[in-house]
Amino acid sequence: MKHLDKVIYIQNKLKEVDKLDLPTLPSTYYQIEELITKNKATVNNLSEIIQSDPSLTAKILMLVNSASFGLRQEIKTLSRAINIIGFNELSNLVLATAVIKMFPPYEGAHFSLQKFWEHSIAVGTAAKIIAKNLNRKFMINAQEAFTAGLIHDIGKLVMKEFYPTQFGKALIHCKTYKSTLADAENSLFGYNHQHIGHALAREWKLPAIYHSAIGFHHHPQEVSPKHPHFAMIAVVHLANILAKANLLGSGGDPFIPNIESITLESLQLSHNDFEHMIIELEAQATETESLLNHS
Amino acid sequence: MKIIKISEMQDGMIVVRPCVSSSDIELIPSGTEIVKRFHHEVLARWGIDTLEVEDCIDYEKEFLKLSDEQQKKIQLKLQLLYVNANENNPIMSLLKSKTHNVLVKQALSDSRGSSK
Repeated sequence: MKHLDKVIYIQNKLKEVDKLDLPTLPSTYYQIEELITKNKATVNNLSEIIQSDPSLTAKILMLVNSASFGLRQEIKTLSRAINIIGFNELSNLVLATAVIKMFPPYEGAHFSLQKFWEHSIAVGTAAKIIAKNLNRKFMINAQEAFTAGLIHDIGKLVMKEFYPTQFGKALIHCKTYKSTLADAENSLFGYNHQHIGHALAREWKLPAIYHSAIGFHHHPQEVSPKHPHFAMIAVVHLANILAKANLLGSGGDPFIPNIESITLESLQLSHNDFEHMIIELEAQATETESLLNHS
Repeated sequence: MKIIKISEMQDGMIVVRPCVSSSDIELIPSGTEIVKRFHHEVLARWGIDTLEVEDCIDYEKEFLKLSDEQQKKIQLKLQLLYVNANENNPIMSLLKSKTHNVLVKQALSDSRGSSK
């Protein structure tokens, strides 16, 4: 079965899970997306939507004032925050905070959601760093790269929540055979968390760039470098490996996979670029963890 | 506002940034004279007046100071983490060296914790 066939098969299975309460994104996200897509967004109407959710308002103000935005003055109002971060970035932040809220961090017996989110945030941070270091011709938005990195493993959460027995088997399999979780899932089920995440992204009607980043982050070589989203796929692929090498959090298996050389070639990244990015990631890793607090 | 030099070094490079909470960083070669010269350069660019330098960690030296058992543990862990990795790829070697440093840092922190 081809990648997309597997994704559609899983998407149909997810519709069955829907009866078991498959999490949905908050209406706030879709309202914001609709206004932006239809070019009807204004600071006022976006503020109104967000203010209906006090915890989201607080979160956005906290994020805007965090070190990752590097602002010298404290931002106290939502409208000012929206002006600074921009409409698209706002939508990305709402998506990021909503997904974390759906699956709050906790320490499980076999799988820690705390460590999972630490890993995911590190991948998001690494993706943002890579995006900022890329030549402008790739047109990768750094905040979009952060969100893509943050949600790249969302398929694992669906596995953990709705198919816990299979997920447990995959975790044991990868430890026994020293393989990545994706390879273990492939061996056991014929599909992996990339397909499941891709299916969920379709179900949630996320922007297509996220479908690609989630669906191919382990196997970018399955996509043509001419694909419109190849650069984002490559960024998340490299960011995942960078975060793992820095031992930041855990996505379920500890093994550091090989870099697919096509990603380095396509993004024109050198050894020196990587050295720079490794150090930058260490400097920023703890700063973005504010996303996990008060989720 | 101060400059903080982060202790991490890669191939003789050090990192400086204008304040603890900023993500704006610069990479410069290590060495006191260069740091001093850089100080003047960043003064103009960042409008800062203090250079605060943290002690640098030489991870290779620190690794050798660890007990045989701790060294062995780190080597085994590193081997396990990179079990599927292509060692001939220079970037994978770079990443492995980074992971080694993180493991040494963790071991040092554990040693300090247990000696309290």
